[in-house]
Amino acid sequence: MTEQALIQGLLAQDRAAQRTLYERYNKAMYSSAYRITGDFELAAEVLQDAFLQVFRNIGSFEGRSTIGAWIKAIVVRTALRAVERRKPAFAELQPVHMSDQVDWGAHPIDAEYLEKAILSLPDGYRTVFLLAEVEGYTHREIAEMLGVTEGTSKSQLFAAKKRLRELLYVEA
Amino acid sequence: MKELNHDTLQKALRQLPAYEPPALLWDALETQLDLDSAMPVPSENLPLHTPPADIWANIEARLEQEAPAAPALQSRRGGLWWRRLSAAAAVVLLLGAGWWAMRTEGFESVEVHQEIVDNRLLEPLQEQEDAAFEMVQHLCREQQPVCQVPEFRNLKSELDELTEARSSLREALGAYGNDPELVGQLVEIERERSRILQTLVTMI
Repeated sequence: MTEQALIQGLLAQDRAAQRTLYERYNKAMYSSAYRITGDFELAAEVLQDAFLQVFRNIGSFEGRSTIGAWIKAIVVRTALRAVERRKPAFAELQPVHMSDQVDWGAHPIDAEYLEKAILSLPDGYRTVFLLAEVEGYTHREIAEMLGVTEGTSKSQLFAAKKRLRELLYVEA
Repeated sequence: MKELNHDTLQKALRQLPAYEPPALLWDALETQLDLDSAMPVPSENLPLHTPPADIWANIEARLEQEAPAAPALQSRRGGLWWRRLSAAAAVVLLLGAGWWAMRTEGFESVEVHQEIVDNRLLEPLQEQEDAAFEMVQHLCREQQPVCQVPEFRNLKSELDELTEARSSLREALGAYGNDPELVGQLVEIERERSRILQTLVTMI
């Protein structure tokens, strides 16, 4: 089914189209929600809530991005709200110095270790890191989503990377 | 702030595992979507109130009073200017009158009228309520987790009692005709039942 046909079905609240959309995106969205929340149960709640929003508000999808990107934005925002309810973000903001440096090295990083390390990051660091490095949002978009300045987003990202690198050394 | 070998990180990020959500999640979504289509959102259920009939008469009278015939030789621009000024004055006067009315004690005595809706128009609403009721019964028969939540269970048992009371009242109404007191009680039960049903649906 083409994306256009899928959207037409969604606009008509067609259950088969809704199911197709869910099947097509549930893994990617669940994985994103899990990494942001760090909790499978909460990620499942986020996914359900986000897809309901998608189905109920499909009329407001303007087609300025792909439907996948639109769903992703909804999932990310829903996950952020869930994390925020659990614990306020950015409680652990640490200063970053201009002279600081992060070197990922030339050797491959084990994805399993990397995921463990990402999940052990404090909420604020993990959120910015995932939004920037995994989801590919710009600092401007991240700042808007999180209600912070672009500068805060950049410094949080760098601090997150520094902490992540330290954690990977420990894991290794 | 400097970052070296960013590619190493990117390569590892591309290999992060993907996870599958619980298989039952689609069922939960589908149930919620069924309820969405069975039950209108609560705000759409709220009654419509008609403001007192004399409000429009007052507005009309005020507009007529403040809109004398335009002078025959007045320029187009002059007419517009005058109209704008009078419209602004009317708005100021109406807002002032509204503010004054709200400040007076008489504000509490404003009457609220509710439209009596033709029963035939309520039939789809009744069908939606029945569908939601069936959904709640079904979930509890299947012993779904939501039915184990104490608040949900209490509300469900209240709902069952009200449903039973409604049946008894309907029977009594059949026997004694449209007794106003019984009709009043039935309306009250229906209203309470709808409220509980909506709360249950929200909890699902």
